[in-house]
Amino acid sequence: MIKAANITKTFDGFLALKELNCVIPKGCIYGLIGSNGAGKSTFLRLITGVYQSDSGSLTLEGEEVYENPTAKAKIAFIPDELFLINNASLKRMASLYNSIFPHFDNIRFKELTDAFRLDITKSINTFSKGMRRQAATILALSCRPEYLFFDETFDGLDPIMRNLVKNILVEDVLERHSTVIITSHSLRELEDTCDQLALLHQGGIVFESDVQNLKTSLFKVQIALSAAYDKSLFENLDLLSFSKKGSVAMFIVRGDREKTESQLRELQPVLLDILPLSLEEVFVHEMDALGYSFRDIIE
Amino acid sequence: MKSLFNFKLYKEGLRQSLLPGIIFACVMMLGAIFTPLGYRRPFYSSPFDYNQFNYALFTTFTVFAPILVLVTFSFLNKRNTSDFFHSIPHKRQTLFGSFFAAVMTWIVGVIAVSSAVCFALYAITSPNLSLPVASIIIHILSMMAASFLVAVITVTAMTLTGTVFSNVVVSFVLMFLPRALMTMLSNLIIRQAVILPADSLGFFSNYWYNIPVSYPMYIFNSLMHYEHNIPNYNKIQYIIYTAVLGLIYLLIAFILFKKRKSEMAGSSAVSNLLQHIFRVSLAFGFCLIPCTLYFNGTDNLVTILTLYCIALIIYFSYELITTKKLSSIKRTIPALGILILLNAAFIGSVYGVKSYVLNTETKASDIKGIRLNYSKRIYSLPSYEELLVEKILFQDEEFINFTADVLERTQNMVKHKFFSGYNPYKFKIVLKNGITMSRTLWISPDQQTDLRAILLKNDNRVLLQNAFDNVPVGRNKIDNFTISSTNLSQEQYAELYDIYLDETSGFSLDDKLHLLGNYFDTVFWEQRDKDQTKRKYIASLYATGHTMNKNFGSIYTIDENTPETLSKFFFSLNSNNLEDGINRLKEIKSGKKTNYTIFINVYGYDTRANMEYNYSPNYNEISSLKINKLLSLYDDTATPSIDFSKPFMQITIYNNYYDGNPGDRNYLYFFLQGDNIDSFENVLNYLR
Repeated sequence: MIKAANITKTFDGFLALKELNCVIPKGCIYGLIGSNGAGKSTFLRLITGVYQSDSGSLTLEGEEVYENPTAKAKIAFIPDELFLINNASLKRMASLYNSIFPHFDNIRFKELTDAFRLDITKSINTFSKGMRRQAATILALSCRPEYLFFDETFDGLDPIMRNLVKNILVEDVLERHSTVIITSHSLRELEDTCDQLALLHQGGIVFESDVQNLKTSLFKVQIALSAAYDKSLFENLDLLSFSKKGSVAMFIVRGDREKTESQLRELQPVLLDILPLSLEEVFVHEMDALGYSFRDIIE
Repeated sequence: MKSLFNFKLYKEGLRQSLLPGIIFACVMMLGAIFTPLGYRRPFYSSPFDYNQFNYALFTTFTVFAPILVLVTFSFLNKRNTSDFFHSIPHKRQTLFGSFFAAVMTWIVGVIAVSSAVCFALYAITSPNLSLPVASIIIHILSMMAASFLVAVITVTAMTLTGTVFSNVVVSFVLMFLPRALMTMLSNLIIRQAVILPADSLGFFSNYWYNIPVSYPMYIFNSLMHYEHNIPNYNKIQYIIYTAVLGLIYLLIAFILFKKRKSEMAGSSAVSNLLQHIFRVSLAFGFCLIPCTLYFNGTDNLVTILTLYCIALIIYFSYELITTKKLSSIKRTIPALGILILLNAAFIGSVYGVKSYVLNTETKASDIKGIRLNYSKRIYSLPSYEELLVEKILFQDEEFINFTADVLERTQNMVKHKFFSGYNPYKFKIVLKNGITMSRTLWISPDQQTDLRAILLKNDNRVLLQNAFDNVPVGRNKIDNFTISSTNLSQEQYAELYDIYLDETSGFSLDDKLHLLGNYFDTVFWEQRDKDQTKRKYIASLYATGHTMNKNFGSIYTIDENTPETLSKFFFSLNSNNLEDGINRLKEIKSGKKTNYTIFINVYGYDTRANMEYNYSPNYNEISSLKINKLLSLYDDTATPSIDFSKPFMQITIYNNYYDGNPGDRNYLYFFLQGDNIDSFENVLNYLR
């Protein structure tokens, strides 16, 4: 488990993280979404022990990570700006990782390079951007980490490779109970992969929830009644938004879907559609309820 | 210890620095191979200079030590690499220790291996060459110590900065500014105060302690015409100082590295305060030049102002280059005040010390005793006798009174800048409060006579005699012998020295002083000068060695006062050269040799004044007749001895265009006398 309590980090007067609090349980795939400059990379670097927070505490399984080799040995981090030795081959990089990371698994390395079909003898300088990200991913996964952090890594991967990586991650999580944190500014990226999602904005987490819960707890209702009605008819429901055109009303409801449907059917509607929301729509409405404009945050 | 070093990280450090390491090794090996192969021993016997051992050694600290560090620790300069190395499961101290150990492995390993190869090649290619192994080993250790210091300073700079440009600039500042400041300050104080000898400020003014900085400082001092030390960093104490300074910087670098934030990669300095400090320090370092010119009395105010303008350009340029923002110039302006203050403090310090030294009164009642201090001469060493005499503390009342009086007079002279007719002599004045003052006192010829009389009487004479009786006995105290323009072997020289010591062991103080060829600046100069014309000056034996933590070079005159030594000298020289010399004369006579110069010095004839004859094809070609006459003095059945109670001639034949062919020696030096005076005079008649 990763626990952050009142983490603050400043760079030359710029407040990157402000009293951030979160708990990331072990064995989950945690998605962290936020716009540029929200503090995602900073947060990951704090957990990795690259940075030291100005205040607060950040622990991994109860231990501080900064200057703690034991804790760091459990972590593999793939940053947005990759580190690859100039003109080195993947084999050379593996040698570097082998000498630095105690659990580096050469067999796994071989399996992954075969799966990704990368030539380990060629200079990485000749790789495309996506191939370099694949190389970095291979190296990180070969370290057999308990904690794996991706900082906007998926952006450079093509859909096939993205799926491949996701499958590998899921396999790791299921078999080895690994914890994965993925940051992105694209919700669609994270939707299919993450168990939990958090939204980082101006140095703090403004919203955090289980993905499944998010998807099922909110739904869209489209209803038409023969008699005249207004919003007050639905006051027993937890409405996030309400709009009406003529006799057709459309609203977002938080709650149990079946129960809500049953209640609505009692009104004998002419039309009743209960539709799932996309994650983005869920976020939009959740954020609206909190007083934020989601689209403004992400864009 | 375990947390300071990790073998796998260390190996990775070696790999990361592989390219510069291999280039370094290649350069050193080329030097190790070609220096001994290219060595040509000169005809005359001169000591092998440790600097000649492997010329590539100087690249260790000037080029490769900083490059190895810059490459190995280059991860500190880029965000992605810095983040990676700060994320690895090792403590920062482990990373630092392992990588720095890798750098030092290259430095020490390459120097050691190349030096071993060099030694082996000298043994193969010049088997008869007597290498001064001890000096060479000290030289190698000097290079290692210098490289260590440069490497540590470079890594210290890298912990404080985050770009290659600022790495290099700050390395220079850390390396040179402290010692440059000390040296310039002490140079100016000594020049302004005048009565302070060049070495009076000890460690503060002796830049040789800091080996990598010493040569640039030596060059700068030479350009500025300051009195400077004999170029010699080959001393154990300098190695120790350099190494200890390196260890101090290593500790600083270690602490800074642990504290350094990864996010500082790519920044010119790890904090705004340090950015100001570096900028001001860099500009101030340059300001030392116009400050020095100001004290040198230059009338060219324009030059000084121009240099200060350049300092300002450097000041602002550093900020522009490192921040790449024109707007950052504005924040540099307040710190200009500090730069001005530093200049003022520097100039004020010089005036302050000068005033103190020239106005402090020292009474005779304050003085416990006086030590003579030989004057450091450029390109020559003190004699062993001078080193012994320096140890004597003269506590004679007359001498103390004399010194106090001369000191006061000198202080007044300096204030009025009047030295005409006076000569400088160095003294160490030991005060009763335990302080020792080094002073250069200006003494008139009359005062010199008085001083000589004081030193050669009573207890002072006894002290001097005792000192001279302690001249090193035995050749094992001497590293090298030579007599100018001769080609005797070290064994032959050592034999001469043994005879000389034996011969002079019972000599009085005055007799020993007559024989000394070194310059004693207090008492013996005039004495020696007066005696000069009475002596048949044939040769001087130069013996160098090491004692009392100093190098010495004693010059012992060989003349009629040391007959056994002189006889041995003639015998040895003629044994080596007489036959070849005669053959050379024959070659010149037959026309086979046309590029020659012949010097003939005649001794012991008439009033025992020397006569000298020179012959050369260009202006005074020697005739066959004259050569025949010279050859008539040669008897190949006689012993090569010379009876110096009778006239004899010394002949030196030079090759004008010596092409380095070992079979054709550069010059030959031998003696001829003939059977009797008549035949000798007959020859002289032809030469005149």
